Order: sequence, then structure tokens, then C-alpha cells
Amino acid sequence: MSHRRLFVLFAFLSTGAFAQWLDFPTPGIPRTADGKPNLSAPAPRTADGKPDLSGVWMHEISSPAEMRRLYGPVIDEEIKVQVPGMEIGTQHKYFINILLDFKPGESPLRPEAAEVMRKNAARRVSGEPCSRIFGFPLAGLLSEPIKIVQSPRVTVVLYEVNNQHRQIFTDGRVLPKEFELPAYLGYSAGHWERDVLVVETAGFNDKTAFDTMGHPHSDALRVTERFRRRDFGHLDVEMTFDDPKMYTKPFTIKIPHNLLADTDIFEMFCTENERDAAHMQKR
Amino acid sequence: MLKGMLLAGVVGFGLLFPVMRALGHHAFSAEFDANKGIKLTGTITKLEWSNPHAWLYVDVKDESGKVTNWSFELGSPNGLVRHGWRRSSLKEGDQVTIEGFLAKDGSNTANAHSVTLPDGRKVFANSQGPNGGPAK
Repeated sequence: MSHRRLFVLFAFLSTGAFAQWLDFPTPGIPRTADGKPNLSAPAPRTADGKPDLSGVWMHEISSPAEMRRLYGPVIDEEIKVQVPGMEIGTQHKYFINILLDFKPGESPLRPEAAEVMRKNAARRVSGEPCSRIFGFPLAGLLSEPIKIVQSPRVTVVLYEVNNQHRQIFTDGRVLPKEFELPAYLGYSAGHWERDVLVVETAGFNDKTAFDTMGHPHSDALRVTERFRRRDFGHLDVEMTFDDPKMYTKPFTIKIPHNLLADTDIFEMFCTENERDAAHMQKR
Repeated sequence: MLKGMLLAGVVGFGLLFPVMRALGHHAFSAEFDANKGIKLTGTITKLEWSNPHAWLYVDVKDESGKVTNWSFELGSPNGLVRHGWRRSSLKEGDQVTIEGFLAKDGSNTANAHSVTLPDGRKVFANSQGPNGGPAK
């Protein structure tokens, strides 16, 4: 190790002020001359030659201006009453409405599903306190990052929000036809197509909605994801949702992710001190 | 065919309305009234540094000298820390001025949109990194 690097290393260690790993420099990542992570460097590869998707990733953020353009004046009201750390401008636009890209009249939502949505909305207290489990893809579209840990036979996706996780098996297994234990985040099996990790997920329960508007899904939902690490700092994620019970056809959303180098995800249990439910107004 | 299209049109359009109620976990407007802004000054009695939201408790004295304890909701500690805030940023006994919006349920509760110290410094620098990472 060069003297300069040793000096930098000792300087870091001697400050001892990493704020509990919030800003701990990730070892071994490509850096530019000024020590910043080189986000344009080529995507790293694992020992078995596959692209390595590991890292702390944050979905592309939808700015307050974009949210206002997409969802209208209700966003202004939200911005007024938001709290630091969870402002409008920390989430991805699909968190509110996964069918955002469909023009009115072209929505693939079946009338039966619309009815389920209305019934669910009537039952719920208005708003959704963080005491519920966040389903897919909502857990990855909120104010919190995710972390992907890739190993040859299984890749784990850790969601900071509510400490959730899921496993993507890449050991050649196929999804079963029946699921004894329907799961909030389903069961995932993936395989590589050149540099793209293609993941099939099924075995969902029907207890969560896709988004905060409440677009429902049945336990027949199957999701196909395509993960491509474009370069060191960017991960393209494409998700296709196929639920013939609730939707007339599959639909796809694209969510680019940016690498959050030199930081980490942290524990977050919604049940620790949930107080919003008591203050929320029932319908 | 036409009836189906009309139905789809009605369903599609009608679903745009519940967005306000449907902002979900981050639907602060479901809990707090954007038309009832408040600004209170008082002494911190407690900081609950917990998920999903940190809570700040403040004794506020009115003109008659009567003291009421108010509860203020903040973001999650994870989000606050990424904004540059630390657990030691606010302590019991600190004087603060808080601007926020009243809870709709009429209790002495509000969200904390901004917290200012007596010397005018704002505790929330709103300096979250551009990609959502920690403030640098």
C-alpha cells in the first residue's frame, strides 16, 4: 500500500467518527483521483465471472416537481406536512400508483379488482401507518435504500424499510407449482442471461397492495425482474407483473437504481414505536 | 365493447381521486392538517429516538404560565441521520422553536416541519444527499 493510502487509512481510523458506519468507506471499490467512488467504472464481476450486483442501492428519486406534475395539487399538501427524512422527493413515483403510465380508460385493472380495491380502502384507516408489512415492489420504492448481497447460489435483497428481506435462488431450482406457505414477498428463482439476472417470483399471498393507492394483487401474481448493472454506480431494474385474476394483461415498470457507496442500510422495525394509527382519522 | 370501455374509463378516472387518502405510510396529510400551521417555543422534556418516527416532547408555556406538554413527530432516525442529524443534536432541557402542522385529532400533537435553536440555527439542514444517501 502506498504511503499516501496508508496516511488516508490512518486518518480515517483515527477520527473514529464514522457515525456508526453511516459514512464508512466501502473497501475495495474503484475510486477517482480525489477519493470519491468511481460510479462510471465497469461493473464488478464475481469469481465465477458473473456481474456482481452487490451493493447498497437507492431507487432513482422522483423529485417534488415531478411528483407534483404527475399527481397534482395533493402533493403540495403533502409537502406542507411532511417530516424530514421522509419528504416527497425521497420516494419513487410508482410508490403511489404503479399504473401511473396508463392513460385513464386504458388501465389493465379488472373491474373485480377495482371492487377489491374499493373494499380494502373502506376498511383501512385513511393513510397507512407503518405497522403493516410492505409488499412488493412497494418495500423498495419508499424513502429507504436496499442492499443486495450476491453469492453464487443465492442473492439476498435486504430492504431497510421494516427490516424485510427476500432470497433469490440461483442454484438451478425452479419455482414449485404449489406453495404451502404463501409469502408477502413471494419465492424467487433467478438465472443469468448473459449479463442480466432474470428472476421469476411467485407464491405471493394476497395481503399487500402494489402501491399506496391500493392496487391489489391475487396469489396468482407472477413477477419477472431483469437486473442489469450498467456500470459500477448504476443498476437497471425492470419488473413485469402478471396477475391474470386482477389485471387484463402484464405490465412493466422500470426503476433505475443508484449505488450508495460508503454507507449502509440500518435496522428499522416499524413495530418499535408506531403511533400514527392513534392519530389517523378513520373514514 | 363500448360498455366495457366506458366502465374502464369510469374506473380509471375514479381511481385518481383517492390519491390523497392513499398516500399510505407517508400520507402525513391524513394525520396532520396543512391548514393549521403552528409555531411553538418550549423546553425539550424527551426525545424518543425510535422507528418508524422519532418523537420530540416539549413543555410549552402559555401567556398565563400554564405548561402543556406537546408531542412532535419527526422522520425516522435512519432518515434524520442521513440528513446530518445526530442523537445528541437535541437534548432534554434544550430550548427549541418548532414549526409544524397540528394533528387532526385535536390532541397536543403536531409534526415537526422545522426545529430552530435559540441562536437561530435550524436543526434540520435538509441536506440529504442527492441520491438519498447521507448528507456529506
